[in-house]
Amino acid sequence: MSDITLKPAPAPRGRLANLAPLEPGRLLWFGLAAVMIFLVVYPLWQIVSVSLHDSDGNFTFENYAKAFGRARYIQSFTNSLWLGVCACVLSLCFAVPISWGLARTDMPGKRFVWLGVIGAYVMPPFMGAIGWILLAGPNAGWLNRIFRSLSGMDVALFDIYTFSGLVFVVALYSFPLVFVFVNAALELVSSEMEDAGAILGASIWHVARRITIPIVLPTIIGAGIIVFLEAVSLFGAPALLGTPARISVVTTTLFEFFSNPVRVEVAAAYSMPLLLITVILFLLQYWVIRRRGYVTQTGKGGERRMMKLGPWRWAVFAYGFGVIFLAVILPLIIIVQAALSKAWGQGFSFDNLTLNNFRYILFEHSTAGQTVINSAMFSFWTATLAVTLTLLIAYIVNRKLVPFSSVLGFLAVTPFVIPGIVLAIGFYAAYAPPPLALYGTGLIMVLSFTTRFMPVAYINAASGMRSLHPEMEEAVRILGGSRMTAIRRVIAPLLKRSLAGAWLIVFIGATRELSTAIFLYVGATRTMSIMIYDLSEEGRFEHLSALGLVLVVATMAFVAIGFRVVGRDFMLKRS
Amino acid sequence: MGRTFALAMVFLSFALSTAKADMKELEAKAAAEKEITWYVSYPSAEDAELTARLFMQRYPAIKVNVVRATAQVIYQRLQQDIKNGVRNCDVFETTDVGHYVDLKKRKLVAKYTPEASKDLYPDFRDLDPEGYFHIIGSSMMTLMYNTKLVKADDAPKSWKDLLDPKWKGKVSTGSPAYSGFLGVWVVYMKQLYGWEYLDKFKANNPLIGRSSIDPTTHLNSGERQVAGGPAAIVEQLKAKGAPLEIVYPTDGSLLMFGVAGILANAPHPNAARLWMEFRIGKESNQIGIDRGGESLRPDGVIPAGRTEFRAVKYYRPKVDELVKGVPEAIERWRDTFGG
Repeated sequence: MSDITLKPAPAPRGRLANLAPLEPGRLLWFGLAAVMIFLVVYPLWQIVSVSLHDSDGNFTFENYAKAFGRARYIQSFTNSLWLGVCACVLSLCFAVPISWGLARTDMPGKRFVWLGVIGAYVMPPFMGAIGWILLAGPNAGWLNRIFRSLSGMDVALFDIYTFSGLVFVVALYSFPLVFVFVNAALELVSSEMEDAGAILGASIWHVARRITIPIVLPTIIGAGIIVFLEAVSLFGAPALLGTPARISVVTTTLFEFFSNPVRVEVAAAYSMPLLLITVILFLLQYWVIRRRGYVTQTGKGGERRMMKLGPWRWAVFAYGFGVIFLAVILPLIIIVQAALSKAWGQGFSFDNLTLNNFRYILFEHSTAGQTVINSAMFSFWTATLAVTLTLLIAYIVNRKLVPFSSVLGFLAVTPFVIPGIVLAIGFYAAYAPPPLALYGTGLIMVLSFTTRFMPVAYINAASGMRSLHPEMEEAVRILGGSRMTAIRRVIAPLLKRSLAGAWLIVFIGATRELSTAIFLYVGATRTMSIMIYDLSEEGRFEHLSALGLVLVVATMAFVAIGFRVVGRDFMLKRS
Repeated sequence: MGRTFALAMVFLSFALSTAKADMKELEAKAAAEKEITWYVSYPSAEDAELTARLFMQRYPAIKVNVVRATAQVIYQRLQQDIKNGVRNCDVFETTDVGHYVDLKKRKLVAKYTPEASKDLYPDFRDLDPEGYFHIIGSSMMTLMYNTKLVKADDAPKSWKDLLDPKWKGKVSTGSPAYSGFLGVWVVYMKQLYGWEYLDKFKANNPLIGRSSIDPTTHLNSGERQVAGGPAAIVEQLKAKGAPLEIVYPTDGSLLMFGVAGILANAPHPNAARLWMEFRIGKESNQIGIDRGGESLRPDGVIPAGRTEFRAVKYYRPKVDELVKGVPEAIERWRDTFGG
């Protein structure tokens, strides 16, 4: 750190000379470092600190012994890792072909498929889990009911209350994360390299496998890591599906440590190995990208043409449609049915139709209306804060403006290793008490959400920065523009699509955030997802489906507004 | 004689008028505090909302913030508040009386015996003789079944019947790790049949939800056929046409309580007192009855055809049994069912 200490200027001449060491790059670094200490380091330090102290404040390792001294807790841990790996692989299987199809080929129905992917992302995983409970519950699930009545056999075709059921649901609602990154990366690849392959006689599949996909492999791996960490940090879906299936995972076990008697210190200890794993994964990702750093966008515009797949384009479309059917269409049908039912179990009939669930949720319920407003406000500020912050960090890191700039990048992705529940406790311990006394404010929700979604925003911003050759901003610098001018006038406009995409991802993510919110909310700051979770605790599927639909529709409206504002470039292909 | 009577009347009316004056004063002070935050697990979210709405209609100056979750979850929230020195909750209402024994021991509860307590049936008075916490609602946990899938004759008659292998894959339950009702239930099953009950229960592969209300959903949808759960919710769902029916088990229904008190550092202490008065008052009690619960007061109007707890064999949990028993039950449950 000595490199960045401010040395007093030897012979100050006027006020400006005094400021010379505070060159804007460094100033920015200091500002960002302060913000990151506030958002990441201090809450994290609180968690580490409590993990090493007993409730009386004495130093101890006993929390670790307690956290891993029981077969059940170890089992939860391995369950989580396994869930992360399986969900990661499955979501790559879902996402990569769709991304490729949309970005590089002439598949039909692109707009539909793209909207479907957005739909899958807008759908909170716990809503998806609920939809799939209604669809694939072993006895009452509609798919099983239909199978029974068609086959006459008295067996369940699907059982969502299993480990594979959990993996399926988690992957189904994580794959859009992979999609967004991989698709964006694929769109930046110009056709020249593919053409080179084609000219040398390679088939379409060969080109895809040996040229296109390897170019975006770092992005795929990065996205895969994100899905792994997302799956490991999820709380809602495992609580809904895992509890009945008797599968506990890290988050549900952490929840257990927080129950009476509260053992925050054990919980903190329990989450430490996860931190280690993520650090390793992060280094791995860093290593992969370093080895194969591809600058794919330069000042010279590359041409991008769609590959002609012939009849195969329908197969690619069918695949995309299939995934969307499972992730969005089928669950939504069943959720709409439940939202419009007096009793959802009684099925589709006119006697069973009612709008009362919406009336109850929106007008009769004392707090549900407020939760809609809260979710929108918190998500808006979270997205704005996270995107601004991470763009600046990505810029500093990528252009190596100051020594140790990569520390900021590391801090920006660190929150991924902290399951939302633990992050919430860190924030709670750090900022709930005086002097800040933020507990119960909307601010603590926004700040914790910002921390939680910083990695997504950062990875997006960083991959955007990596694809931008410095030559364009160098032009600004040569012509006398400042760094901030370069960021404002060149980088931000060039990354407009990417930033808008990141903003939206964070916004949507924040609207469905559950595991952090659940420990930081009070009555007045309750969000829709907490409300839905609370309703789900009682299995009132009619009410929670109604509120869930409001959430999905409201978020969709924001997506539509995004389209209007940013234009057709908005996360879509540019042609 | 006449004089004594007249004197007594004067005295009584004086006493009543001071009580009324006290009440008016309390209402005024409470109104000045403007709001109250109610952490609650006893009635369902819907019923809690209903109760809060009624209160707000009566006292429009006071806004009720309802924070509802299962007993162990809401207690967890409260513990977080306490640990961080955050004053948020005014009235805490739980289904696990052990919470209150703990809070009282740690001097976190304010002593307050609602004026309206004297109107309650003796059964429901003086849960804590020192007046730190009180019963504010009661309902039964019973057996239940789906009438489309199970004939009345075949339905389980006792808790022990749930262990019959014929219910394998057809039984559903909540979890004591979340639900206060289930905590009491496991304690009672252990008393009746020992821990083997859980092992045999596990052999029947129950679908495990969180809240005690979950099984009513599992049964309503036909995902499972038989379960134990809150009779009050079955009454509510039956009224909406759901194919559910209650069975009062021969080995004893459980008489459950909602237990409430005022936190020592409640930010709105007067509103909290007013809330306690209201909560065991006539109107709130009637909501409890209308929503399928027991009447705490002799002036409650019981709908025709409703079975009250006194009419069946029931088990009333004792406070000390639960203080020790529920945490043990949760731990044992987690070891048996893995979380």
